Amino acid sequence: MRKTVPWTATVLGFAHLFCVGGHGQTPSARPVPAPGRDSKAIELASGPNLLQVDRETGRIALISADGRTLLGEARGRGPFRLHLPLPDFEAHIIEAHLTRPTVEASGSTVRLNYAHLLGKRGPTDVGAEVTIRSTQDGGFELNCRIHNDTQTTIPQIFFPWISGFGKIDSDADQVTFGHSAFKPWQAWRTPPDHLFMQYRGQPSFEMLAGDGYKAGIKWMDWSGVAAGASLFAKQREPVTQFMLASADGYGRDTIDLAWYFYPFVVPGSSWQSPTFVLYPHRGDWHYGILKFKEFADRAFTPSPSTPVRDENLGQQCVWLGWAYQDWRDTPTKFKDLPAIAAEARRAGIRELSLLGTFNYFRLPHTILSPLGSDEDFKKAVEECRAAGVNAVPIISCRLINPETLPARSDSAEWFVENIAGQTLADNWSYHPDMIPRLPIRQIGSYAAYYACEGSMQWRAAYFDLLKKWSRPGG
Amino acid sequence: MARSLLRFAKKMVETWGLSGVMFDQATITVHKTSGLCFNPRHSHRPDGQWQSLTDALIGTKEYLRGRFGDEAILADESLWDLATEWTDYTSDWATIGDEHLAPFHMAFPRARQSIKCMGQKAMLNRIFTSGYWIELYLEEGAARLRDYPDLTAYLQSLAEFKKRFARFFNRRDTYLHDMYVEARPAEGAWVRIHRSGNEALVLVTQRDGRATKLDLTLDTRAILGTGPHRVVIYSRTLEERGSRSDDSGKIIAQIDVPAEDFVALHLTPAASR
Repeated sequence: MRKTVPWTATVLGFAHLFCVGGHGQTPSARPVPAPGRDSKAIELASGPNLLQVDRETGRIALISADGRTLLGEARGRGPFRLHLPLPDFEAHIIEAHLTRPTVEASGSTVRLNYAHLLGKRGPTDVGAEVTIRSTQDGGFELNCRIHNDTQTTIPQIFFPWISGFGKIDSDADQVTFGHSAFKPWQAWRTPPDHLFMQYRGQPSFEMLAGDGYKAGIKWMDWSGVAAGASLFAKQREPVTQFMLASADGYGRDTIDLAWYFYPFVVPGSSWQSPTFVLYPHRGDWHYGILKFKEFADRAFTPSPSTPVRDENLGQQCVWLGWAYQDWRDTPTKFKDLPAIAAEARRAGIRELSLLGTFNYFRLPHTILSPLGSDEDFKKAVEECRAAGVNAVPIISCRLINPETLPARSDSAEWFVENIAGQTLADNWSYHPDMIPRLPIRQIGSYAAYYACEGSMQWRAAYFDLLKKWSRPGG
Repeated sequence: MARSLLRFAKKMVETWGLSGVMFDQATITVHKTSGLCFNPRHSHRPDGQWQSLTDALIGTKEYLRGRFGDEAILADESLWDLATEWTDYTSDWATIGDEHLAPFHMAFPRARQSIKCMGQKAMLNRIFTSGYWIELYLEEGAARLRDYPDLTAYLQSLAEFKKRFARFFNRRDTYLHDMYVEARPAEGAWVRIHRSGNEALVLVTQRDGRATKLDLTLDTRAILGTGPHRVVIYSRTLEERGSRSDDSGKIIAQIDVPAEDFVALHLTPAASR
């Protein structure tokens, strides 16, 4: 059970609080003294929250949540950085804070313009505009546009990059993702024993937004128990991107939060970031995800359900055949499925998930004949359905053993390739009697490459034909 | 190849009589390739692999819906935000543990994700009370429910309970996880709040299945808004175990949670009952 938070900061209470702020005083960008500097910072207010931008560097200089400071000074990097490789310096990075931007502040918005970003060897022909806008509901929207007038492709852009979040409550402060969490104070208290690439001591933790087991949403939250800030992208599109937590070194007292993309901005073109929301809040990560939910409710439409699915408990997962089992001894065959389905139905389960039905990772997809014939399978599926249970086989579509591709196929076109032109492989083969159980390294029958859904052959052969088939007489 | 896969498609619906399919690895393997593909033979950008996968899955769902309407099933391994628009449910290897996947489901309270369980009641209760589908994985998928009569009876009771309170599971508007509730003692208490319209269902179990007595304080104003509220306490078998009413914005209740079991509190505006 997590610790409770003050009940004044409720879902309904928040809405009320922000309405008061919104109607009471229209937030406007205003200059304020920046802590420890001669220059001024620009301050934006949003509900009870504040954000300051350092005029000299464009870095965020203050983030506070209802009076609680989360980030107290402009430091480190930000608000963006990008990779502009040079012929004799391929790791050349442009750090935005090293270029003084032109700053415009009007109403609830601050605009930072960078005409010629400074690289290590002087000005470049890369321009940028960053806007930060108070949404008056406690949040701040951040956008970035990069224009590439160089002769070099920009492969990677970090935006936003926000340096200097401090400790909130304890070493248990955490970065929360959709399906996981990371605790930097604990993980980065001391350097690891291994020394490779640790000489600069800059720990980092990346999270692929599309990782369905660890994230699955373009949202992360930095919180303790009593306060924190969420950062999320208002973006439906499945564009490859990573969330990042990093620090200047081990045992430090601040962390950075950032986001990065691989847009490969070609010469003469521009890149526009999705709109990010920075949402300081009182309370733990729950308050941040509820803010993201407001966006999710508007942007996504859940797959419709049915009354049967609404009341269904779930599914029973049935292994019909292990990959390398003794095929003269298959304890469960297709003919057994209706009885299994009937037992499941009595327990309130309306789905069977069938593992080991097809010849995994090999083309063409055929059922494993020791389990029964095609007719046996069809009969079993129909009898399951008659019992009120869907029998649904699990089919691999992305991993394909290259030796099973059809003749005359351009095998090089089917698969994902990394930057070195290599295919990527996995060997998901297993058997309970083998050590290790997974993977079994000495048998290659199920070793496979990752197909790319961008492969025209893969698409034509698989999903486009599925679509055609949906037409009457198709 | 095209012929062989067309044959597969035809087999799927005609030879095998299937109305749905579950794609192993379709959803999750973006991370296996970092979501980047540099194959020069493809027309997508290097960061376009995820979009290509999305297009393929949307096309598949369109096909299946065209053939089978609402009964079509497209299931995947795990979920991401946009995939909630076509995924009917999942078969994946997510574990309930301390429910690290709660943020996703607070953002997408109607997403149907399954969590495997080998039948342990304490784990079943954590999965069920958090609103997930149960993916029963008896003896690693090799066992039959006929050999587990006690478990079958227990699942039947869960099914009856879910039928009675279906609106708070896959039709919920908001999943509040463990917000706005205080449990004493807090250690091991597992309290989950599901809101639908102007009502909420609070499900209470113990993480490791021990019997426990809990003092629960519900912030009813935060959960449902202002106004008088009433809570009726139910056992897993839908027996009423008492009720409370209050208009102060908080309801306090003492709850006995039996071993390997859960208790429900149905929270409504006082006037609606």
